[in-house]
Amino acid sequence: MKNIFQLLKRNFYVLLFLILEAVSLVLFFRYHQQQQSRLYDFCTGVRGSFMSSGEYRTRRELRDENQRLQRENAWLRASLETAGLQTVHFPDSTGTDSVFGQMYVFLPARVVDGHINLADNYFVLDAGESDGVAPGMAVISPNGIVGIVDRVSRHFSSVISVLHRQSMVSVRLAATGHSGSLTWPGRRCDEASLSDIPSHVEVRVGDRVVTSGLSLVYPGGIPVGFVSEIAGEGEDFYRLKIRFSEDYRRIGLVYVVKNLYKEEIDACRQVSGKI
Amino acid sequence: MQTSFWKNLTRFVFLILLQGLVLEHIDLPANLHCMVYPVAILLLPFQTSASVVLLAGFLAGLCVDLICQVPGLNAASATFMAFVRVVYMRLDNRHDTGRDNDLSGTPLPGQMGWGGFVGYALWTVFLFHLAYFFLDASSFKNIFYTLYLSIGSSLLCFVCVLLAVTLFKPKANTR
Repeated sequence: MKNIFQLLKRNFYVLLFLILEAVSLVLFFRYHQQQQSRLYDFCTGVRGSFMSSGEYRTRRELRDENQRLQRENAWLRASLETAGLQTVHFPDSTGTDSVFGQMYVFLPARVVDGHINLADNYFVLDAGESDGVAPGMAVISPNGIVGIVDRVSRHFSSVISVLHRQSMVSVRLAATGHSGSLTWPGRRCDEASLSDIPSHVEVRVGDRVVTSGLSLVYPGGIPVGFVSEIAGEGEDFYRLKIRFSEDYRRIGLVYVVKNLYKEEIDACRQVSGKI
Repeated sequence: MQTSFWKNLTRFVFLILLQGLVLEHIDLPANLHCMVYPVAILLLPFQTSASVVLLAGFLAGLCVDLICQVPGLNAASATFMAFVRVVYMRLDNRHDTGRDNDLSGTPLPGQMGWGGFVGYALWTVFLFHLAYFFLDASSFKNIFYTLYLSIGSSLLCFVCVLLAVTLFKPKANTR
């Protein structure tokens, strides 16, 4: 203690200097508006460069930023041609123009619960009836497909994951355009089976698999995964193994896909069924 | 000691009044500033305690600020200069010649030698002007212009210091 006092006494002039300088600076910036605004700009700049270094950003800021980006992505996805429906067709062979109406809109949501280790897996989303979510809507993530909405409460909804034994998604090989059915055999959470691809089609390991758009639940062209193993050569159809492009162990932000023509399509299907 | 105290006080008041009432109202070419009141801090006796030097610097600056109605600018710069002087004197141990209350030893070329005095005066005066002009600009945008003002005004002030040391040369400079 005595040493501390001695140290303070010896360096008292530094403390006094700091106090006097602080008083002077407070006086200066208090009575000089221009300098005050420059100081403010300088401090804001320093703070901005410090905060933008990434590691020091608060979780709250990152979450807000994520939500903003997710909304922007939803809007961008909705403006893609794959989310549109060609409403005017030009039969003239020279005509290349078409008119597209909005067919799909994307509602941002977050996975708040779920599991991937069971035979039939579900996810729970933080978006429900009040957000416009309804049963039967597709759920996709930035990297792939997630599942189909099963039940909806006011603020939440449960999703039958693609990691479900009853899950069946119409997909196609991006390279050749041949469609098949994607099912989950119930073993690994990163692997699925693709059937109904005729064996005369040239398939290579690493070929991209995307949604076909034929089911009218998932828009076409959404990435699903890659061919990881080819079997059944010489038979009528391949037995392909697909490696999912989405890691379902880390899934967080998703989009619920709303088909704006669903009722019209369902009505057509009912009529066709009666015939 | 008494004589030395009154002499320093007179010099202190005279330079502040000269600065505040006369020099601050004279526009020099090339936007240079002529500052003479730092000389009062510069020429405080060797044995003046660090706290007194700092308080003197602060008071001198504050007085000029009050006269010129620019609160804080001179006070901050002069306090900084006083701190530089204290640190300089502590590093330059040659003049730390005992703790008697003899205030007659003024930092003049006769005491420090011309080389030592010029180094001491140039550093303190330059750092004073650097603090003054950077604080006034509050920005690094026109850094070269601010440096030009600092160096130009420092040289002007240094000429004033040389004039002052020849004026305040008298017999009191005997220790």
